[in-house]
Amino acid sequence: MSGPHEHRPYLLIGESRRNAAARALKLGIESWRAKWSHGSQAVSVDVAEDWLQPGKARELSEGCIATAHSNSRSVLMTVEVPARLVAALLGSSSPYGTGGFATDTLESDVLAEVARSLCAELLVRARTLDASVEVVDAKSHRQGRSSLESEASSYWSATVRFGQEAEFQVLLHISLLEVLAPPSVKSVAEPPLQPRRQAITEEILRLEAWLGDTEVSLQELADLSCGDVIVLQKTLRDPGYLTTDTGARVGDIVLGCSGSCRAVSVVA
Amino acid sequence: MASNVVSRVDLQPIASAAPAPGAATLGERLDLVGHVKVKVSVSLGGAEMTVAKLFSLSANEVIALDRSVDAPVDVKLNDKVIARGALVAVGDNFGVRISEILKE
Repeated sequence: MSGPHEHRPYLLIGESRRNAAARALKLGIESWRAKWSHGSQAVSVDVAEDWLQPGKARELSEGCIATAHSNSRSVLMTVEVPARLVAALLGSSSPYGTGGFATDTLESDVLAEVARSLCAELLVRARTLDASVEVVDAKSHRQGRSSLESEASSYWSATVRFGQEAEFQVLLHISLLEVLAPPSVKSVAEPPLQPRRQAITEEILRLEAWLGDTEVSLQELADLSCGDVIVLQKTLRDPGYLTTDTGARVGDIVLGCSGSCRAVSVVA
Repeated sequence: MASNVVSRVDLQPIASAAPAPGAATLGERLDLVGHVKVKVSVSLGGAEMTVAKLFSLSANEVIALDRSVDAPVDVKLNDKVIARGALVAVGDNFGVRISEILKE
C-alpha cells in the first residue's frame, strides 16, 4: 500500500460518468429533501474528492447510521446522519432540538426514518431495488465501522450540508456509484473498409445501344418530314456500339432480337 | 517598296444595349446556315446493368434492350430525340424512315 489515494476505482469510470453519478446523487438528495421539507433551505452536496480514508473518518457522536446491504450482505451505501439533521431538515418549527437525543424515542425513530428514506431514494435512482437497509445508533455502530474502513478504498464519499450546521456523509460503494451514472454510450462500431472495386461493381449503369449516325445539313433537317428516309453512314454489316449514359463507348454490338425485345449481341 | 506609316490601333469600348424583342438583325435566316452539317444518331434503346455485369460481358452475349422489336428507333441530335422512325435498309446501308417528327 503506497498511500491513501491508492486503489480509487471511481477514477476508472471516467470523468463524464463520474460527473453524471454526482449529478444523480445530488438530484436524489434534493428529491429526498423535498419529501421532508418544503422550505427553500439551500442544500450543498460535495461529491468530488472527499474520499474516505482509513483511520481518518469522522466519528459521529450523536445520530444514526443507515447501511444498505446487497443480497450478498456487502455494503452498498452508508449514510451517517447526525441528530441535528432532523431540526435542520424540518426547519425552525421542528419540535426536535439541535442536540442529540436518546435512543428508542420518537425523535430517534424520526431520525432513523430520515436516514432510511435517503437510502431508499438513492437505491431507487441506482436501480437497486433488492437491497435491504439497516439503521443503527451511531454509538453502537462504531464497533462495526472498522470493517467499512478496511475497505474504504472501495467507497466514494459525498458530504451533504444543510445551511451551516447540519452536515452528513453518504458513502457509496463503487458498484453503486457505477450504476448511478447512466450507462456509458458505446460508440457505434465503424464498418470495416471495403475494397473500392467491390463497391464499384454494384453500381448500376444505364447503357444505350446505337445503330450509327450520319451527317445532315441544317436545311435537310429543317425540311425533314414523315416518310423521309435518313440513310446512315453504316452498312448492314457494320456493328453498332454501346455507350454509357455519359457517352463513353464500351463495346461494339450487332442488332438482333430476344423474344419480343430488341436486343444486341456484344462482338467486341 | 512604298513606305507606309505604321501606327497603333486603339480599340474603343462598345456600349452594349439590351436587345429589343423581335428586333433580331438576322432573324432565323436558315439560308445562312442551311449548309452546316450536324450529326444525328440513331438509338436502338437502352438497358441497365451493374458494373460487375458489364465487366463480365463476353463476346456474343445478348443484352435485351428496353424496346420491343417493332418499336421505332430514336433519331437524336445533341442528345435530344427529334424524330422516330422504322429501321430500313437502303441498298447496303441502314436507314430510318421517319414516322414521327414535329412540324415547325
